[in-house]
Amino acid sequence: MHRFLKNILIVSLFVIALHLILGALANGSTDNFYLRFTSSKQNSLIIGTSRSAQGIHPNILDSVLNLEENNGIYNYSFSINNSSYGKEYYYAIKNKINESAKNGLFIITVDPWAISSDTTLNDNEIDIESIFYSKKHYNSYPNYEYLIKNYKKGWGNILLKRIESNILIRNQNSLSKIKGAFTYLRKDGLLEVYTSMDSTYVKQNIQKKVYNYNTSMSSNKFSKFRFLYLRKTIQLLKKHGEVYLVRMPVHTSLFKIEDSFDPQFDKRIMNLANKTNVDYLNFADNATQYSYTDGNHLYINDAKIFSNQLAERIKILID
Amino acid sequence: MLFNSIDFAIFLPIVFILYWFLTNKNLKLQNLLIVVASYLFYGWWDYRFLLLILFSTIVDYSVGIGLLKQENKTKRKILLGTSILVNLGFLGFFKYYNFFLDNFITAFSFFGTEIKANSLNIILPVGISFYTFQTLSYSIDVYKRKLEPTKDFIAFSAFVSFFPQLVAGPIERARNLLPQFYKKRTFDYSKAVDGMRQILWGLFKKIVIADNCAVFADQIFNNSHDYSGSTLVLGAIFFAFQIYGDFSGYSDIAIGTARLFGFNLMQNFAFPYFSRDIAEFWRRWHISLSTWFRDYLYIPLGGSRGTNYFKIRNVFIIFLVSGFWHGANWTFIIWGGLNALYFLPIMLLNKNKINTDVVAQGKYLPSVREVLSMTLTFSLTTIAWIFFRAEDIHHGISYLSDIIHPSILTLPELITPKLEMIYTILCVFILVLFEWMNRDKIHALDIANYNKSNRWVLYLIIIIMIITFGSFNQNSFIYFQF
Repeated sequence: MHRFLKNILIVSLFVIALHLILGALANGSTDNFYLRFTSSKQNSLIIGTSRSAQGIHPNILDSVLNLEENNGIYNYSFSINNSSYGKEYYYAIKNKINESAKNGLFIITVDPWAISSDTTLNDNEIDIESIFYSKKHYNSYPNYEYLIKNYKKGWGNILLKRIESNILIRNQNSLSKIKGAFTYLRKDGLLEVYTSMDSTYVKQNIQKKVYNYNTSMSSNKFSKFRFLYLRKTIQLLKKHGEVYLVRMPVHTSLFKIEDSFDPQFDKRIMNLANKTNVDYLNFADNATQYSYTDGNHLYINDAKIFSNQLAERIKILID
Repeated sequence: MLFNSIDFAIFLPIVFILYWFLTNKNLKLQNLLIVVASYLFYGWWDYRFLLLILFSTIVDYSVGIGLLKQENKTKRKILLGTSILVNLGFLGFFKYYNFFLDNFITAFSFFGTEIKANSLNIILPVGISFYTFQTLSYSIDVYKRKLEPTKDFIAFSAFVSFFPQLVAGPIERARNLLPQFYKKRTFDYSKAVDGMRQILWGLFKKIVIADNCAVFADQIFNNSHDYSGSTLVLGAIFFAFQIYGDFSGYSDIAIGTARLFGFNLMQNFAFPYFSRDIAEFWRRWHISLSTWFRDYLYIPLGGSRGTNYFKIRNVFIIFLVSGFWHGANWTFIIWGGLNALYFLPIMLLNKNKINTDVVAQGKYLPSVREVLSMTLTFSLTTIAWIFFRAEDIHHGISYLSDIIHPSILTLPELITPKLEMIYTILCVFILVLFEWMNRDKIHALDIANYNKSNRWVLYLIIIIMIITFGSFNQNSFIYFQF
């Protein structure tokens, strides 16, 4: 029996030690969110869903607006299922802000989906599947809590992903041939999406998104609860610096759907901006200037152009 | 509680320590611990259904005691009937009520009569098909005087609820398992180590093979109209390995866990995809169920004796009932029917017992003839699996007809996530290779005869593969729904 227990103990300790090492190797290739749970508290943030996660480059804002002096701006946007405005995201943001920050810059991106919810769910049910739900650690590195709760693959996959992403980034020009995509989360919180921009492939992706959004239209509705938390988020961030509400551009076919989903959206946000005394920058009309990977997200090079335009608009407002 | 969950990883060592260090001096206490642990294990899903197990246990225990005292034939039959009625009654209500109701309504509407009846929102208790068959085997064996009924209620409760095999088998015969609860168990190092090896291999099959194959099988089956014929073939193969990895993986973990506690459960899978004909396949796939049906249905019906009419009838009955046992859906019945059709020719030609040995025994590679016969058997089985996996009969037929298309001659498409698909195919190759190398053993990691360093290298490789390629979504096992 002792021999058996000794062997089991050795194997168990080996497996635990291996996991501790593998967990420490997690980086931007691990998944689309992990690094945002490991970064330190921030003075300036970009808030929103996957549109801003992929579409606003922090380094461009830093250089145009000279934010490096104030530790730069951090992209703390996630995805529609995780970071629509609500209680969970609100507390995650609160945990990410440096309490002593006073001169920060905060970009809050808005769209009709981020303030809507499933028609069948109550307010206390809507975010129970959010990545923030029941989290305690938002700023620790390595973040074992996050990996245990959210990483559903074996942790050996962390190492495999690191190797894969190095190879894929070096061969990103081949993506058009295989019609595929992969992501890499940068240290500043930007989610880089490397994807084939083959016109047929992109067209198919837009069609899929249009289908999904049409489906969402019938199953979602404007949420007073989310709108209330959007207001609370603005109020929270205003204590720490300047706040800007931004509507990002999307493909015209998707814009039409969201416009018919919530025709009052712009008016609603304008009123909110007036009441909270912040600026609302609407880029929805500039949609045709950019190319998109799937209609919903800006292509990485166009995201740079957009980030620059956004930074210039904010610069004018600041000056 | 799932075998592939953190809960079980905590539960198992606690029960193991209590079993061997605290209760080892007292057999009754040890059996009681098994009962408590088993009820906790089952109650983790839904404690309300524990009453069902308890009731079934009390009924069959009482029937056993009744049969011990009763010599009158009619009264003995009534006692057996009570056990059958209670067990099949539970099964019929929880599993088949809505199926029969829906088909009843459909049948009447076909003749122009509209019947209004509300189907019930019935939750299927996990593992009900397994433990009811296990307790039925006890009552039938006692009735036939093949087994002495037990007077030890705790031992009998432990036999019914024994947690390693409670929810998905192997469906143990009382004759094999029950006597093991009467004897004092002593810890056997080599038995425990072999149990751990079988658990490790079972985890590999479940977490690496089944759960990864499921991603691609689901995607292809759920969008079958969008894919080429060759991709649909690949989807069916993914499902064939998903169900094998899932179910045989469960059995390996169950048998291995039982061995840690000093119990021997029957072998449930014997490398079925290396079968050379369908009869051999059914001797190697879900052995505990196949032999249950053989002993308690096929042989009482006359088996393969009598005229061809009786032989054909019996084969169809056993396969259709086996299909229906899996679930209240016509797809399972079609699956059973197809297997009956595969089986019939070789039975009628009296060739159903020609492949009873291990394929290519003592050789590294099979002969061309063996390769062809294994490929044919695997193909036939995979075609039947399409119906097993399909949402309904229409889906199964359309899946098959979409396969028969010129696009079957093209290369299969890569399904996203593409790299994962390639890793999964590689892992399946490793599984097949490993199982081929050890096909004459009880399980693929039965490597006690390897030298120590080779054994440890193999453990390390499998652990690293589980950690690297495993899916830790805590996906349920397919057979839990049955």
